[in-house]
Amino acid sequence: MSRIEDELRVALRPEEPAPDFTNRVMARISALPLEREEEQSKKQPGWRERLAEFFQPVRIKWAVAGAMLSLLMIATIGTYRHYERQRMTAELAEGERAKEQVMLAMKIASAKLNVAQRKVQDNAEK
Amino acid sequence: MQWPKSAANPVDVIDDTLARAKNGDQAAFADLVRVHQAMVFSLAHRFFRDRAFAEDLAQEVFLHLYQNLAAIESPSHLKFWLRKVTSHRCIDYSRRRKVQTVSVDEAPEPMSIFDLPDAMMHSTLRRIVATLPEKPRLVVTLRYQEDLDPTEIAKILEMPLNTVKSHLRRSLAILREKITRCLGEIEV
Repeated sequence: MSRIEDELRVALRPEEPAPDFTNRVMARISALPLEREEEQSKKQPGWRERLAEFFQPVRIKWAVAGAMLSLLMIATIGTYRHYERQRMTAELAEGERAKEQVMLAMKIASAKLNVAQRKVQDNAEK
Repeated sequence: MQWPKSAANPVDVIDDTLARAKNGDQAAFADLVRVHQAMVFSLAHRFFRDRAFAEDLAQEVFLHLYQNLAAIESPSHLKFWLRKVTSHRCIDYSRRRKVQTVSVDEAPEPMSIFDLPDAMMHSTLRRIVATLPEKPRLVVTLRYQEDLDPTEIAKILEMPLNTVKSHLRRSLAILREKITRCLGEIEV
């Protein structure tokens, strides 16, 4: 044990607070239940207060804003889905048209090939 | 706090006082405050070097104790709880409030420690302890005010044992160096 440690022990000996310290603590404790009750009544309003609070103008404004926002979202989603369905129908119709054109082109090509084949056969026979 | 003379063992008396306080006996709680107020107040006072602020903090600690008395299991647990809560509050409050520390360089430099009365020597030591950073200051206070070993300090401050030991080692080196500078060439 070094000397500085011995000196620290003496220098840092616990000292008492002011003589009325305990009384002041007890006075604050006596005031505590009142404070706690007030805090609790502030923290936990009854159902009547909560209902009345809900219908306060500020609350109603927020409720209306929420409802409007929900309606707007539903309308946006509906419109998007409607346009998406229309786009898909148009794409299908276009696909059908393209298919018909391809089939027609193939028929024409086949007819021309038949004509050409006949001519080749006629020339071979001669 | 003076315990009744009939009490054979002060620990049993505190145990009984604690039990009565837990049952809502205000006088018993006041006794608990009286027994532990010096410890709580001194921890805060060593930390902040401000009597009024230390008393406020100590009051807060006892109010907190009153509200959490049901969780206290024994007199030793009560001491541990008070030390822990006070230490943590000191750190929290010092972060909210700019702590005024005294610079030892501003202190007058006497010729030799042997020319000084003990009171001055101890007051210089307390002032130098107040210049340590917050965690080492708490470690030193718990070690030398409360006479706790590093393991107990580590539990209270929730820090690794090696950190406590290194804070102690470094703080003692700083204290030696500063006290030598402050008080002249002496062996401490």
